[in-house]
Amino acid sequence: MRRRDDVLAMALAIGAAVPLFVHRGDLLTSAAKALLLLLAAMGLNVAMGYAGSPSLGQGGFAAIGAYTTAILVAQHRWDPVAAAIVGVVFSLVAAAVVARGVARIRPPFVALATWLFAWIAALAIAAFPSLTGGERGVSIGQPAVRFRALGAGWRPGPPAYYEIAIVAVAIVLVLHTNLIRRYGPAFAAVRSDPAAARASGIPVDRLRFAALAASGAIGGLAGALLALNAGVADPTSYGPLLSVKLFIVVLIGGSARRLGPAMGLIAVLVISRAASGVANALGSAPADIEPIVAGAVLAGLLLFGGDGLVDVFERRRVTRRAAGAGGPIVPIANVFGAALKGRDIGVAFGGVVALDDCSIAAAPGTCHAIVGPNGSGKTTLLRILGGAVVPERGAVVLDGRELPEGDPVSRARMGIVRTLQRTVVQQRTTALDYVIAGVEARRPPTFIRAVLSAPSVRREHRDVSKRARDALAAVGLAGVASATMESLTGAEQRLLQIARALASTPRVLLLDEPSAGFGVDAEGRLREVLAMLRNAGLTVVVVEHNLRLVREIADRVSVLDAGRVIAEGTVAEVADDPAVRAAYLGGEADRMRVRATQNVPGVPPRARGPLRGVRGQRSAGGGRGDRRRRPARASRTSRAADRAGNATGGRADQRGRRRPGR
Amino acid sequence: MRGTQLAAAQINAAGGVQAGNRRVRLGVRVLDSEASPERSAANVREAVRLGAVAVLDEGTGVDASWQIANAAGVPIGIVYQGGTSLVDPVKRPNVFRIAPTDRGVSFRLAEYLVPKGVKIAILHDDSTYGTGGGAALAQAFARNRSSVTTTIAVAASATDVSAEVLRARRSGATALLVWARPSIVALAIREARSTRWTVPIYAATSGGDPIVRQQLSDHPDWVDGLTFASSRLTSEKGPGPFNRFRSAYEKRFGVEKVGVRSGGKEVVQPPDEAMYSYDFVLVLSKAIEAAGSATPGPALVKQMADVDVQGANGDERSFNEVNHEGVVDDDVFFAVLRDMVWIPVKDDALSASLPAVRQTI
Repeated sequence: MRRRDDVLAMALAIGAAVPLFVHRGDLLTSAAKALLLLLAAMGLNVAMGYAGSPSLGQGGFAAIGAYTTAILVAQHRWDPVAAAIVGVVFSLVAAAVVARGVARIRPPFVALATWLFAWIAALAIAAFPSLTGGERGVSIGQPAVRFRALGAGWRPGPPAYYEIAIVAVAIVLVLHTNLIRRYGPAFAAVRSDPAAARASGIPVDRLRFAALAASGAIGGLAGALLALNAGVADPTSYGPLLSVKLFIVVLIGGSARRLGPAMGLIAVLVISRAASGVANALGSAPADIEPIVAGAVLAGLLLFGGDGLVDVFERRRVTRRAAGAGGPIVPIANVFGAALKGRDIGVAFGGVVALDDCSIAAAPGTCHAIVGPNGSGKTTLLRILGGAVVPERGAVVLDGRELPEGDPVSRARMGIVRTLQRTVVQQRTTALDYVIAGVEARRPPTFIRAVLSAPSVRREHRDVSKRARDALAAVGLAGVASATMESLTGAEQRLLQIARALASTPRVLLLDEPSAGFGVDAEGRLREVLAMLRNAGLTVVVVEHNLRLVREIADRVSVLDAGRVIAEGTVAEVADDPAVRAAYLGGEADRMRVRATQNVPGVPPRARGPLRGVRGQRSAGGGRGDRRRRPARASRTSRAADRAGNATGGRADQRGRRRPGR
Repeated sequence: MRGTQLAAAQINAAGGVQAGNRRVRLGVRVLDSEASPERSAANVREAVRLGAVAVLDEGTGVDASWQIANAAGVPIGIVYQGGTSLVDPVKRPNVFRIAPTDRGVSFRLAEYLVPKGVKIAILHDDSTYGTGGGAALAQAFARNRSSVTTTIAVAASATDVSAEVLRARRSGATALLVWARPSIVALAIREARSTRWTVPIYAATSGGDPIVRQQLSDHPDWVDGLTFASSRLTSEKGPGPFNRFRSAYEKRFGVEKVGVRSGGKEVVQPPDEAMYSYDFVLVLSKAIEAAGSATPGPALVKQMADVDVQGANGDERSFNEVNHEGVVDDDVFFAVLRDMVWIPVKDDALSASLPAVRQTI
């Protein structure tokens, strides 16, 4: 990071020195234009690169900034600075409206929606020629009021290079030294795996919204200054074409890379020159050749990995570390774990009942395991507890207080944080940055303070870093803080997820199959970590197939089968439960025995097996792979079970009637 | 562009321009504005840097570039766009135009059409050319509003104008007047004729563009009768001067084939628009001589308004302090297309006095 900052500082210094060596007004205008395009591309990089929202609307936001500024200056005699500020505000408002609409949708649709916005902006410019000047644009000429603050003026002759450079550099510095540093790890989590980020409590939608809005505002600023620099707001210079150009600049240079837009812009300028040469040789127009050359370069980059030129020039920085250098497990300070209950929870997906009247209770400072065969609803229950799925019935209760319907982010703010089944590997992200993102769940929004680089933000950043390091130490990974994720083992990557969850200072930790993919040695470490967390007072709810691990760490166990809790108690208690044995072993005798108990008065509901569908021997492994609708042709055994259910009004059949066709 | 090159070549062949006590040769540098005002402004900056004595522009970028040129004392010559606001001797002392103005064409159209008693539906596109024309026609017909049944705008990039032509037809119009890019003119004719709307169709200068005939080459009969306005190619001195200019032009650049045939012969386009840039260079060279210097500056701009030359068609071309228009509004004539070539109409006094020019080879 330091080296890249040095490169950036050097580039800025060179940029500042341009007028010392270049005295030609036209070249200074071009240099200022290049700076402003770079600014627009860097703005786009915030949304497209860092937040993973591929915006094709940057040309539209630039158009709003440019035309607002030009119209106010040319037609209403406004001060250029005031006009530019209004232009930026208009762009920001437009970007916020667009961002509000697209923050929750998937990236391809973000591209489509923003592309439509760019077209709408272009069509609006064409539709009101009396205001926008039609093809002739809005010429600013010589504004009546100068840029007094800096003692220089916007002139149609020598450009105000320094004024433009100062604004551009200020924005770049704010972006890089404040915002990207502050939000970078969270952005990386958002673009890498939004679901995992949400589960960790990272406010994905809010970050995407902020990134798109900030991106649009920067685009608007670039547009305003481009219009002032050129002396005209030109319809051919903005809109969809500019969007695509900036998109290509970021892609070619490398998205989510600090130097990416600069490298991309240089590449595009070189391509433009080369295209002119080719066009001259072929007797064609450069405008016809340029897209072909740019497309060829882009295709080449995509073929060779698609990470952009920065990665081609800069050796991939994968920091490896010596084997076994993770470090000891450092206990966390005592925490006040919370009592978490799931009460009578029911949910169905389509026609499949995933959970039915399912209740569990995890006491503070205990480890509560949820086990059961594949497709029994364990992960669904965990997702409901974590806020990722809204149940149709029942409630989640934290410390006696029923929680409102919420999303993972709000649950995380209440202290309930979940890890996912799958391993998430964020490329080029250090372990420390990965964990820092988890802190976002509990951090207040500090956008303005971050822009201003308030002392409190710097102090907060130091605190965040310390918390993240403590979380790494808690899972025994302090020694790999600066290692990139791809250099870690699978077990370490999963421990890292726990560390990220810990960084948000949870009161309840929901772990979904944390031992998946662990070897025996690594499993021991996980066992130590979980024991330490429980002993520190944290409430741990863990979905786990590894019964050996469950035996060793769980205080209580809930056994799920086909969406219902069939047993609950200590490990020893549930181990002897015939329903559990039936669920796990699937033997006919056990199965029939369980069935017989289903509707017998006096037998607790938890012992009643739903006996839906066809089950065979259950194997360890996660997922909802074998959750299915009631088969059209059930086996003899299950048909017998159905008959029994029908005859007695059993729950299995009641469920079927309650949700016909669902 | 070719008119400029031809004029420069002829002047240089004659020994160049006498600028004070030395003769200078004229050079032509082509910078493509790509119809972009910003590009146009950048080109003018480049031209100023190169020490250009004048800039010729089709007109789209002049709003954005005239100040840059004016600061350097470089005159700008507009050779296509006719928008009223482009030329203003007081506010834009360095901007001159040799091309028919929107105002001139529209008033001549009104003057020609109103006496016919037709009810006109006006169709214009949203290009600068079309919107400027639409505005000029509104002014021209302001005193005869009853002659216009409707005014309809269409996108310059449209590929289908059926709805607009239908609206025009339903307005009760007995004539259709199109002021738009050539492709839109062709589309409007195709739509009207294919739906058997047989009213007379009139067009502004773009009606004479080869593109109209090219795009309707599958139905030559639909082009027949299209009447368009244009600036006169011949002066009171007869066709001699224009034919000499044309001969030199075609000798240097070849004939411009339209791509259609008439009476079995290939149709060619006379170099009408090239005439304007050619004439501008003649005025410029005379201004340089009068200023005694080939260096751009206020003196050169001033002399542009003080000199006069005989233009390519034999007309006198000149500007003055209060008028920077090189084509007189009254010089607009009307021609009608017959079998893919045009002939001056007979029911307009000026047009009837003009000889036809050769259009086939």
